[in-house]
Amino acid sequence: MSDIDIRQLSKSYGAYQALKSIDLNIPNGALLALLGPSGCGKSTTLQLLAGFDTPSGGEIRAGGELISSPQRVVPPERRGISLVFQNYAVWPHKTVAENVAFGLHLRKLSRAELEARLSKALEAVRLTPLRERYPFELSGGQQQRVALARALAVEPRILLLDEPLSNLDAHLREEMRFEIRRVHDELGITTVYVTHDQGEALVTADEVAVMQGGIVQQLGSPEDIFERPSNAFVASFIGSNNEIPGRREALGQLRVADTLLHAEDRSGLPSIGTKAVLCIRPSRVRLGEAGGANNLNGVVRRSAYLGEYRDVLIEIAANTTLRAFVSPHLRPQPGESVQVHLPPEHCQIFATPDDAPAR
Amino acid sequence: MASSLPMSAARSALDGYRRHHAFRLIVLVILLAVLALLIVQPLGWIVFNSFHDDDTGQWTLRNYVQIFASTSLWAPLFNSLLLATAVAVISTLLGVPLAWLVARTDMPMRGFIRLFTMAAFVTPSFIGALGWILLAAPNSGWLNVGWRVLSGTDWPLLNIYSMIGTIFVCSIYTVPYTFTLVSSALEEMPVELEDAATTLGSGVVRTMRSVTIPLVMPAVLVGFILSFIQGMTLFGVPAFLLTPSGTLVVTTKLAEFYQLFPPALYMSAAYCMPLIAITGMLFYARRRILGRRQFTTVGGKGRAGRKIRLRAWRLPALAFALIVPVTAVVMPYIAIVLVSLSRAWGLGPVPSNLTLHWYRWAIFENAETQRAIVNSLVYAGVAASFCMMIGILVAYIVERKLLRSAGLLAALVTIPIIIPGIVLSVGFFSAYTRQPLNLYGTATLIIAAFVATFLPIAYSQAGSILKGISPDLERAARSVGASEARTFASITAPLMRGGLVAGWLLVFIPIMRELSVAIFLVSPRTNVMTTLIYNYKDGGNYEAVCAASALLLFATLIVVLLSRFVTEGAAYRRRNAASLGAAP
Repeated sequence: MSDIDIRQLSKSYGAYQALKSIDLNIPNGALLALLGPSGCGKSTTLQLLAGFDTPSGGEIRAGGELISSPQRVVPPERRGISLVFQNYAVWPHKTVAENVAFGLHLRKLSRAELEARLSKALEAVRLTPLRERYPFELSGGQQQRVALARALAVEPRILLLDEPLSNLDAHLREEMRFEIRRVHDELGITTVYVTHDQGEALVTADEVAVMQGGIVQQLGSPEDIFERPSNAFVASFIGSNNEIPGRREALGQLRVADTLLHAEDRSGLPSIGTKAVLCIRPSRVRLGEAGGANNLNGVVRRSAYLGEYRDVLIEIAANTTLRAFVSPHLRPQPGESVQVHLPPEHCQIFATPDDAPAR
Repeated sequence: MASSLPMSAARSALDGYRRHHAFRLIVLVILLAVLALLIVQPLGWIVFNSFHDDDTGQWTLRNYVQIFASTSLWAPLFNSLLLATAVAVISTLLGVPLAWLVARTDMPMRGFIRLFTMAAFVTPSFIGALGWILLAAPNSGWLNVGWRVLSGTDWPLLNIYSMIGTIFVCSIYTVPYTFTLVSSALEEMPVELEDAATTLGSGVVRTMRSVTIPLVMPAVLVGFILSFIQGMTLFGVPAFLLTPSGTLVVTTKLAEFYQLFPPALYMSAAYCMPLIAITGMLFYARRRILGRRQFTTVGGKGRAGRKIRLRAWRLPALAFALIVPVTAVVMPYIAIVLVSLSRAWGLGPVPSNLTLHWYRWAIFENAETQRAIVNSLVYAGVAASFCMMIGILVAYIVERKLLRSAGLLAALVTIPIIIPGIVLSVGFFSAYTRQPLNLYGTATLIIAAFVATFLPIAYSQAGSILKGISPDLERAARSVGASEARTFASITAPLMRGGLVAGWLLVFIPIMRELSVAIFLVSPRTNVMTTLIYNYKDGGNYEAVCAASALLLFATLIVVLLSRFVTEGAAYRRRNAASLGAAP
């Protein structure tokens, strides 16, 4: 096992910069999730970590040893880093046991030790009863476990998971999240988990690195990135979010149409009078009268019943709407005028994201 | 938990890095050396020789000037162009409607017609020409004999020894190219594309004009181009049918240079150039057509479409569709088999004339045919194996982008596709019948020429097999500690196996029937079936020639049936593998 140290890592494909200098330190035994939309650079990072690609700049060290730099890439088989693939990549011509034992055979172990480690790996993912099956006789979730066992059997110092659950159906996916976390807790292997699904990242990871545009936007605990996002992109990518555009009148004050809203100012913007956005989670928006600041008048434009809550779209100014998740027992009707309260402790001001799509 | 790979020290990682790259370098050097010997060297000699004078050995441009100045040199070029154009037009006119009838209509006997068109595909066209000599030679051809008896006249109905006869024979054996291309385009086209037009209110004819025809047009054009190239590069048919009347085409003119004493090596090299230029241009055109719009369109599931009902046209359509199966397979095969079973074919197919003598002679008594049968099988087997080995290695490097020079390797192994067999024969003769590498009269020379000729097929076969195997399956092996070589041996090779056998057969079969590549390279000891048949035919012993031809056809057909069997098995396995390992 070892820690991973990524310094100023960059990767370009021709003129396209897939990765623009990222720094990450993953402590020994930690589980880090690389989270971001497709094209954010997370898979590129993983390919570089696995040794399938050469970086354009920077370096990767594992346990202090230089394994990737533009000059030299230690080949994948010499890194002690196992990779679990999105499409499982379970070898169709080998049984479950043969798949898992393949890496062990390469290590020229004694028969007894090989069998012991094979059993241990199968046991860890609860596949022992299926060991003589061929992959086409297995369900997607079982194939995923084979891929995991195969990666774990060789006792890698680092485990990489590339969107390991995205091909599974929703139900199984939820179950496997906990499974992966359980296996990690059991074995304590330093793990990097690439996903575009925030639920997976929040459930499994000790730390989450949110990536976008080839840059790490925020590195923090799951709670950090949800409660205290470092910018509007992170706020909107993790969970549901409202971005209300306005003009910053003072530190912590944003004017939206003719209302002045108060919020924690995390924009880091030096000047007053610039454009900025106020972010608030729809679940924190209140309907009805409330004392103090941050009250707005609005008109209900759409109201959708979702069982556990009601998703209401409210127009608070021309071309400005916001979503509120409210109790399903409230029944606001489209066209109805409502009072909206944005509790200041749940409001944060950020710089306007330059590449955010218009809403 | 200590990893059992010794990788904790930075030194061992560096060591692995070096070993990894040393291995790649060795593989690349060997591969480049082999390809230089097989492709660069022979073609280089052709270019070099073409600028030298046969009499003086000095540098000169005289050879090129002569091609255009001398009637005896440009007339064959003109004849070749005429032949190629006619073959391309006729094959398209026959092949496209045939493909449509088989793929899209309720014409009867579609399976039979498909099977026999494929049989025409695997029949060496010079053996077809032989069959047609038996049928339509002006004096002794059976059809002409029958005509004289019936009509009471004494002039022949058909004369196969003519430009028209040659065009006819070349065309019926070229139709399968167009047929295969167009029918697979029609079959892979999703029915939904046509249904979409129909639901918008378009009738059958309108749908065909606006949807079906534009979608198969690239296949038709490529079929036309391939037919043209066939017409330009075929050697056996014009050698059998045109040379007797003194008419020459480019390929037979090349052969004539070699019959001079001493052979006009340098002149023949220059004379190869117009042929290479034309085929090169046509392959470039084909690439452009295929590159722009692939005719295998949106993920065709190959769902069987509704058959268009021909009603009253069913029988006329069948009569048309039978032209190729009957003229390319049924009639010449019957003629060849009957003659091979006759004591003397002039006596006609009557019971008293029947004998197995010529087969006994070919298999047990005559050392020449015995040796040729063994040579054909051994050379084709060895050459197909080498071909596939090189093809797989290059395809693997290209598909997995293992080396920066992958593009160069791919270009090298694809070059022979534009080099007609007879030209490669000239190249190998020039390069390897001199010091320091004088291979004349050896099996190595012929096998090497076969390997070079069929590298493009082997490479494209290997490439398409590899495309079906997700690189993640290999990366998974790398990430648990397998080297590149080990990954290939344990993962890639077993997954390729079914496809490989089929690919090997697809190289083996054309080598078995190849004539023009071997023609200048064989010696009496290294004759193969095709060259022996070609030489015997000059001797006029038709019964023996037919027995040898029947044996060759028989051997080829067995291999074809075997390949069908294996390919279907492989397709089944690939489906299984694809559902698991294919890239998303």
